[in-house]
Amino acid sequence: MNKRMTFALAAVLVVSLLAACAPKTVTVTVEVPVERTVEVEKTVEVPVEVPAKTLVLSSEMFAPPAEQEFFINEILKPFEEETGITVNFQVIKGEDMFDRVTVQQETGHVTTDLVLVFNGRFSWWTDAGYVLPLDEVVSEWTDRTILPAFDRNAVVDGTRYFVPISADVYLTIANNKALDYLPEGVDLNNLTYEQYADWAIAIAEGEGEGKVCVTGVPQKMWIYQFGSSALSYGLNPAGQPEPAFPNVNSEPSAAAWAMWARIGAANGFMPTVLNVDNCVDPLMREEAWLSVTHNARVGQVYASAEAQYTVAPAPSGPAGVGTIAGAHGIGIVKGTANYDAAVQLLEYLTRPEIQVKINKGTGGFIPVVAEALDYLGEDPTDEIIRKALLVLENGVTSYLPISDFQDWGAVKKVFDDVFQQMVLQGDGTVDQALLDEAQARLDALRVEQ
Amino acid sequence: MATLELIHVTKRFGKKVVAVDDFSLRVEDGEFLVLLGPSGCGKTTTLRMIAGLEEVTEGRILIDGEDVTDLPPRKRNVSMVFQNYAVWPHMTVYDNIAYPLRLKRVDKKTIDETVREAARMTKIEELLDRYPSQLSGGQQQRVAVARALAVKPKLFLMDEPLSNLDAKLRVATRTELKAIHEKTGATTIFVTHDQSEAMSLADRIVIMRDGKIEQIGTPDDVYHRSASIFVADFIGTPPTNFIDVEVQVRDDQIHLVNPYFDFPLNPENAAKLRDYPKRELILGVRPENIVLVSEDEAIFSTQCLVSEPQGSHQIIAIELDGKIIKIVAPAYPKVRSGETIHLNFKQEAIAFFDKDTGRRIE
Amino acid sequence: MTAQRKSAHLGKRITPYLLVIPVFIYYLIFWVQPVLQQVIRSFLDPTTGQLSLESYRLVLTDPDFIPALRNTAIIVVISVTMEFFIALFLALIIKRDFWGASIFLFLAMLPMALPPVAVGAMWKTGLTTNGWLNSLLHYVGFLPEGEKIYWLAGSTWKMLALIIIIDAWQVIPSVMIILLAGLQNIPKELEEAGYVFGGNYFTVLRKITLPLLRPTIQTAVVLRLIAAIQIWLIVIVLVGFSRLPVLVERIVYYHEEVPRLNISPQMAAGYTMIVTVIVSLAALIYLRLSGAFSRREGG
Repeated sequence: MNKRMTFALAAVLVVSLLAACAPKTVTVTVEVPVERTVEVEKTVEVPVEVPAKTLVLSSEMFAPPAEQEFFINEILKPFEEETGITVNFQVIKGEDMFDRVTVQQETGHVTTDLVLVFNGRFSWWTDAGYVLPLDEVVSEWTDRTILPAFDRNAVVDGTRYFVPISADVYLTIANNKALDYLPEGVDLNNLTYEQYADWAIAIAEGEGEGKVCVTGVPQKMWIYQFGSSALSYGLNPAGQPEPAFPNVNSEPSAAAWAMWARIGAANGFMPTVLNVDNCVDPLMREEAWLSVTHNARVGQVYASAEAQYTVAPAPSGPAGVGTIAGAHGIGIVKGTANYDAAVQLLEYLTRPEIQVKINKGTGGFIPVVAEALDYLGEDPTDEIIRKALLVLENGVTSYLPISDFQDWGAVKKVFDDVFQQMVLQGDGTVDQALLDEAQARLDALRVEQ
Repeated sequence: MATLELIHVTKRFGKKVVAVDDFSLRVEDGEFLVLLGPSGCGKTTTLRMIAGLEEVTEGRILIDGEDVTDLPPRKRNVSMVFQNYAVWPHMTVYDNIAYPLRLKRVDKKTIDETVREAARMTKIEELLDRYPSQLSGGQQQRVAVARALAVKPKLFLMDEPLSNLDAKLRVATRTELKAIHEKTGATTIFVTHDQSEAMSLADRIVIMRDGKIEQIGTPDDVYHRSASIFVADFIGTPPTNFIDVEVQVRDDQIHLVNPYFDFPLNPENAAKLRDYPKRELILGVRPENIVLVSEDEAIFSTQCLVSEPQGSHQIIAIELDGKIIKIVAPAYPKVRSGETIHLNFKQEAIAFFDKDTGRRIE
Repeated sequence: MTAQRKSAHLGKRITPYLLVIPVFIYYLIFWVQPVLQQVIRSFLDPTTGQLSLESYRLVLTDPDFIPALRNTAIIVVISVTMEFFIALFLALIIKRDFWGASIFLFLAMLPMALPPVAVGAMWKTGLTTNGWLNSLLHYVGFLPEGEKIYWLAGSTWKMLALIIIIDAWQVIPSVMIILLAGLQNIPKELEEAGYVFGGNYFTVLRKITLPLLRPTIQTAVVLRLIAAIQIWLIVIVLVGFSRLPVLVERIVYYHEEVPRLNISPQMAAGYTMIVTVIVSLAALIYLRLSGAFSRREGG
C-alpha cells in the first residue's frame, strides 16, 4: 500500500515537472469594453448619456510598485476625472508586451490601445508596423516642444511613431561619509573616472572595506554602468560609427575596464557586490557609499535622506561625460477602437506640468518636454532632474540598440562575466585576450542582417 | 524464577491524576498473580511500572530482593505479552522470538534451540518462517507468548493478552496459558478486567479500584469472602445480590428486617454483628445462596419475574424493594414466570456490608 | 433474465471508469499533452522541424552544463541527507512529547508557510553585510563590534553551503512532519516490546522504529530528492542567474531570462528533458536501493 503510494507520488511529481517546464502558451488577455452605462435620474425624462470608455495602457515602465501606485493614483486618476475615460494600466515585460500585441495584431482583436515602451525597443514596434503615425497629433500641440534627444527610432523616415514621456541618464551618488576620502582639490561636479577610482580605493583602504556599488547580479544594470564609463573614454566617437556601444574590447572600452579593474584589485567594490541587483538598498543601508547609477534610483536614495547624500553628474573621461541614456515613449497601437481617447491621454501625459509631475513623482526621471523645465523647483528631486539634464545635454550618450541583438539579457551577461572574471577576480590589469573572446561572444549574438 | 515486591508504589500523572495509590504487594516465586479491575483502575499502569515502561512516582519495586525501581526495562530481566501482541511486523516469527536472545548475545546454536523449544510449547513450529501479517490473531498471540517464554525471564508479565481474541479462542488459550505456566513455573503477573479469566488462572487475585488494592486473595477468598461490596459485585456471574436490611434485636436474637422478610440470624452470623453499632446494613447473598424451599421453611415468598434456563441450572429473577435479585437454582423443577416461589438464604454463606464504607462486616 | 443480469453486471463494471473519465480527460489535455509536446519538441529542429538531436548536443556542450550538474548533485546529496537526519532527530524529540512540544512543533512549522521567494528575500536581507544576521551576532556577542561576516561574498562552495542551509531551514519542517506522522503511526507497544526484550534506545531505534518507519522514510526522501533536484528559486534570489548554475535554473534562464536567443528554445527543451530523466532515474534508483521493489512482506 505504502509502496504503491510512493510510486504514485513519484510519478505525479515527474509528470508535474514536465508540465511545469513545458513552454508557456502566450496568454491572450481579452478586455471586454465596458458597456456605456446609462444613468437615469428620476426627475428628468430625457436619459443622460455619460460617455465611459476604457483605455488599455500597457507599460514596461513604472514596474516598481511605488512608481506604479503613483502613476495610477496621481497621474491617471485626474485624467479619468477630467475626461471620464477609464485607463486600465498594466505593467508587463517589454518582450511579453510585444508578444501579446503581436497576437492581437495577427488575430485582428486589438485590446491594447497604447504601449509605453523603452526606446531600445522602439524599432521592434516600428519595424512590425504595430504603432500609428503621430505627426498630426503632435503638430496640434503648440504649447510644448519635445526634446529631440530621443527621436532616434521614435521618428522613422520623418514620421513620428512614439512620443517620449520620460528619460533617464546615469548620475553619481555619494554618501557624505565618503566625502572625507575625496582627494584634495577634486571637484565632485567635475569628477573624472580616474579620480572616481582613486576615491574608491582611498575609501577601501581607509575603511578596510570596499564601498562602491555596481549591480553584480547578472543581467541587471552593470552593462549600463560600464557602458557609461566606456562612453567617457571614447566609445561612440562623434561622427564615426565605430566603436559603438555595446562594445567590450575596443580601446575606449579597455581603458574603462582598466579603471574598473583598478578598483577591483584594490577591493574597492562592496564585498557582497555579486549579490547586488539594485544599488538602492545597499546605498540606503550604507553598505555602499558610492555609485554611478540610474537617475531614478539615485533620486530614490537621495529623497530618502537628503542630508546624508551628495549627487553629482556622472564622472567624465577623456571624451567627456558619458552616459547611457534611455527613454520611454508612448505609441498608439494600430487597430485601436479608442483612437480619440488614446490621443487625449497622449496629450495629457505630455503637458509640461504633468511631465514634471510624472517624472518627479517617480523618483527623478527626466521630462522630455522643454517647457517642463520651467516648472522645476528647489526640492531634492528637482536637483536630481537638473543634474540629469546637464548630463543629457552635455554628455556623450548612447541609446540601447536592443533590437540589433537576439537577446539583450544575453548581451548583458557578456559584460557581467567580464566584470566577475577580470574586474573582481583579476589582478587589476586588462586581459585583452579575455576581452576579445567576450567581444566574439557579443558579436555572435547580433541578429544576422 | 523470582519473587516480586512492590513497596508503597504510587504513580501520579501530572499533579492531580493518581493512577496507582500506595500499592504494596509481595508475589511469591512461581506464583500466578492476576491484577483484576475495571478499566482505569490502575492495573495496567502497575504492570507497566513493574516492566519499567512507566516511571514510579513514589515507592520501590524489588525483584528477587534487588531494587529495580530505577533500572530501564532491559535490565530487569522480565518479559511481557502485550494486549495487541506487539509482534514486530518486519521480522519473521523466528526472528521475533530470536531477537531478544540476540540482544543478550546468546550463541547461535542456543538461540536456535530455544526458539524451537518455545515454538513447540506454543505450537507454532510450522509458522517460524512467516511474517506476522500472514498470521491470524490467535497465531500472533502465540508468537508473543513464545517470544516472552524464550528469554526465560524472572517475571512473566501479561497485559490483557486474551482480550483481542474471540470468546471461544479466549477460553481455549486461557487453558493453554495455564498449562504453560504449570510447565515452566514462571512467576507471572497477569492483568485482566475479565473476572472469570482471573478466577480460572490465578493463584491469587489482586482486585484494584481507583488505583488502590480492594482485596488480595485466592479465587475462593475473593469469591466467598469478598472484602467489600465492590468485590462482591465485581466477582461472579451473576453478581452478588445486595439487599438493604435493618438490624433489630428481639428475644435475645438478632433479626434482619426488610419489608419483605424478617428472620433471626444463626449464632455465627449474630457474632459478627455483635459489635456493629449501626441499625442498617447491606446484606450480600450470592445467587446460588438463595434457595427454593417449601412454604413453611421460607423466610419470604414472591413471584418469579423471569426465569432463564441455562441447561445445567436456571437463573430466576425476582423483584425486591425495587431491585432485581437473581437466584441460581437447579435446572429442575422448572420455575415459570409469574409462579410464586418460596425462598430462604443459606445462612453460612451470607455476608454483611457496612452501608457507609461498603466494607465487609466480620 | 441472464441478459438482464449481464447488463446490470456490465453497468457495475463500467461505473468506476465512467467516474474516472473526466479526470482522465483533464489529465490528457492539461498534463499528458504538454508533456508529450515537450518531449517531441526536444527532438525536433525548431527551424526545419526535422528530427534532430541538436537540443541535446547544445546542452551537453554548454559550458554551464557540467557545473550545473555538479552543483545540483552536491545540493541534492548533502541537503537530502542532512535534512533527513535533522528532521528525523527533531521528529524523535517531538514524539517524546516533552513540555512545550506542541509550541516547538508550531514554531518549527513556520518556515513551511513561507514561499521560496519570501524565504530567499528574508535570508538575503539577513545575510547582507548590515543585515539582521550580523546584527544578531553582534547583539548576542558572538561577533565583536565593528567586525562583519560577509556571508554572501565568496566562493562557489560558500554559496552552495548557504543555499543548502537555507533550503534545509525551509524544508526540514515538512520532512519532519511526514516522519513524525509516520512515527506516531507505529503502535507504541512495538517499541515498548523492544525495550522490555532487552533493547536500549538506539537498538530499538535501529532495529524496530526505523525499519517500521521505512515506507514513510521512502516517501519523504523521494519527495525531497525530487524537490532538491528542482531547486532554483532560492539560488537566483541569492545570487541571480548564471553565477551558480543548477539544472532547473538553466531551464528558467533560457525560458525566462534570455528567451530570444536562437538557441533558447532548444536549450530549455534539452535541459527540461535531462532534468526529467534525472529525476525519474533518481526516484527509481532510490526506490530500488531502499527495497521498495522487493515483495517480501505480505500485505
